[in-house]
Amino acid sequence: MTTYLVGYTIIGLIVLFIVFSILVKKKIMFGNTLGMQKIFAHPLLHYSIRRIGSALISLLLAIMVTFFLIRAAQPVETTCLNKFAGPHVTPELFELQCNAWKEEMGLSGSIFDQLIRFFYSILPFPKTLCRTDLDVNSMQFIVSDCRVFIIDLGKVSDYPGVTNGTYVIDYMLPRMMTSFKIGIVAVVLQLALGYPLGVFMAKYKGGIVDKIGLTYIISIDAIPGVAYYYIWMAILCGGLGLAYTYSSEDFSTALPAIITMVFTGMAGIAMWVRRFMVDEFTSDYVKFARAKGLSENRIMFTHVLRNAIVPLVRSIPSAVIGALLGTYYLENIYGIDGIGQALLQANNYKNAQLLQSVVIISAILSIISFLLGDIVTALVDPRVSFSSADD
Amino acid sequence: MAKEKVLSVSDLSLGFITRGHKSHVLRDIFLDIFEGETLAIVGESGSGKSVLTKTFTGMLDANGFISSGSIIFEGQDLVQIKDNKSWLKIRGRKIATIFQDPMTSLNPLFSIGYQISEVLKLHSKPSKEEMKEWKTKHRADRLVEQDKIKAMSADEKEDYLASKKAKRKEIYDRIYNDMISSHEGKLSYYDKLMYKYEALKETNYVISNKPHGMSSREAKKETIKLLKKVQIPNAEKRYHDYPFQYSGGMRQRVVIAIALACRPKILICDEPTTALDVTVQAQILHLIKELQHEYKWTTIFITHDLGVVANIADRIAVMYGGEIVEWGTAEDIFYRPAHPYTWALLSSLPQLGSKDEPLSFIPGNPPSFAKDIIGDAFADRNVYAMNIDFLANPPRFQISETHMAKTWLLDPRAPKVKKPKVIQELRQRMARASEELLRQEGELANEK
Repeated sequence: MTTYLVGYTIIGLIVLFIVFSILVKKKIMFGNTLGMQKIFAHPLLHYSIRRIGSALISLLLAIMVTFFLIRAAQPVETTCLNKFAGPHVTPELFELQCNAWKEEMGLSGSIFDQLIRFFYSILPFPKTLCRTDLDVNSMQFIVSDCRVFIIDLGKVSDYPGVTNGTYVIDYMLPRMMTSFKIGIVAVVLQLALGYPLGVFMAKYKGGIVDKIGLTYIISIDAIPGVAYYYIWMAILCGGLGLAYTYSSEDFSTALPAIITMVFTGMAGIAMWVRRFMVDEFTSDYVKFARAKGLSENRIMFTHVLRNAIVPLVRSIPSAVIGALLGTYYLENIYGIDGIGQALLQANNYKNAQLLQSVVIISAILSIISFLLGDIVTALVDPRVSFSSADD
Repeated sequence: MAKEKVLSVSDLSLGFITRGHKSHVLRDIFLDIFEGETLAIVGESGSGKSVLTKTFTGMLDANGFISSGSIIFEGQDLVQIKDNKSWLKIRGRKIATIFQDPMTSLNPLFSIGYQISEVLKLHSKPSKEEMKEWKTKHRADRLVEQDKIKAMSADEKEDYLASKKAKRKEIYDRIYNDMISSHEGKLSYYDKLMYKYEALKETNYVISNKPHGMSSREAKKETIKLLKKVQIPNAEKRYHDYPFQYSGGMRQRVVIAIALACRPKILICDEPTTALDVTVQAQILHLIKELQHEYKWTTIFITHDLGVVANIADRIAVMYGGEIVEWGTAEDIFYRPAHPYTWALLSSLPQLGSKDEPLSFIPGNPPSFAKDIIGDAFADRNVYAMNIDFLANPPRFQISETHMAKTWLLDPRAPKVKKPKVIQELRQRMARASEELLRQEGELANEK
């Protein structure tokens, strides 16, 4: 533990020193902006820190709400009785087992005690954790599988298909990767098909492509998601003979889910691209660009598209990051063992550790994606600057 | 008139189809525009002055149609042009337009420099025919050269290739050094790479004699020159700025710079100063006039403000209800107006009013185009209207070689009418107004 701590501290200090000296040299920190000496001189850094600061408060609130809700829904003593009580269990053994379980799940002590320990465990600094199993014969704990974690999300136990005492991270990461693998393909395809479709519809507004596209978009909007997913399932799996269930060995079994996601998401993207482009097309600068002698294609693909894209790029980072969290319905329909399915299962089995972890992870990811969205917007729109008026 | 016609509109009629209903917006327009002059088209909103100039650049709305007439420009009838490709050869390149609102005329997301150099690059691009011609010539040259090399001995061949390479290197070095020396400030690695690439490209152009458009570097140089020409201070730095960092007047200057980049034969200014405040207005008008002297284009000035016109126009066409009711030199219109509508316009100029009489105005509304107009369009609002005005459209009466008016009052059978007071005293009042103007300008100059 100490060696780890010292090692990490030294490495951390060295990294910090290097980063800090670069930041100061590039005038990102301790520089002069608008004639004022500032610690976080670069407006982007200043903005990010302010933004993350305010986001941390919402993160804290979200975590606390889930923390209390989960404990209210799952009385510890009854769970203990259900789990460990039996005709052959002595009161001492029961006590020991129950306490050990509570300790492992972070459920021992008063609720505020638990909250404080919970915050301690998710504070990002290295800590060593071990598995402790009770050997019933010798009545002693066996310590095994000690590892260092930055954030301790707890362990999963008494959960179908999972060995008792598995670390949440070990349970989540492969699922996250599964969700991401499928999600990122879908997101990339959505963007790659949705944008051109929107542009095409706007360019030939009122034409046959536009009419078909609009019909498609409206039907996607009008049919409820669940019904729509099953329609796609009937077409893709029943009609085209694709696999009904996903298996991790064969990626092609993910095709029905990916196709469904692409065709759903694409409609929204195409609709907004078309709408913004049609809007921009009536503006004065387009008229002037025409008077300058630019061709219609050039006006369309440089001037109009650039303007139409500005309000849309903000959502790209959150779409990409959102792929990590998967989709609830689709993953359940096609039996994909991703995060979405894990969350639903955790909810069904009232697994506190898992629910908390999913909330924390998704909250952190959404904070990051919002921040990235803002940064991307600022990159494409010169009118956006990160310094507020009083800065 | 000795001057040459640049553009000649004859018998032009135009209408719009709205919800299945045809309305006739322009009727029997005859107008000649001469080289190097400034023609002002004056009229109230909805008189069809903008629509008229839109037909010159093919920018009529989709529901507009030209029912008859012709617009002859450089021996070509613009009315016959239907496809956008042919319009691209004229629009911007030969006839450029400046619009009313400089605030929204520029794309907010591209830098000023980009928006100007874009035009320069586009218009300097060689045409397809030129490229084709070059390609065939180049191919022939290469074949000749290959034959020459084949006929050489090995040593000669080596020498020849080496000399060719050396020549290439020499040209490349010259261009590259020229680029570096013109660069201000420290060169970054990226700059060097870009310059190397551009120098390589230009060397190729020089050696193969290939026709080419402006390179980014040349376009930037030219753009900065143009920005300086329209009096943007600190042009090198402002090149990279975005429209939102410019004021309204500055933006209109940029718009003018873009028009300059087009090097048009005709510049249409569609109320270019309406959105600007008065002092900036004067500067912009002055700038347009100054640049016109230098670039020798023809200006068509659309405005509803006769006061603006007085300073800059050589000739004036007054439009009402989709017709040109009177045209003539500025002298003709301001000192010998013949149409009652021109009288009414002049009478309502505050500059010509006097303190002891109420400012006159034109009662009523301009005619609606929804119904066909019978007789003189102005008859309803005309205090001098006669019975004939409600029955038949007046013919064009040629008053002098340069002056035309379309009113029954000029018919020899018409009774003599008493003109409004302002028109009777026009000479005195005009003199007084110009004295006033000179005094104000003097004050402005003193303040500066």
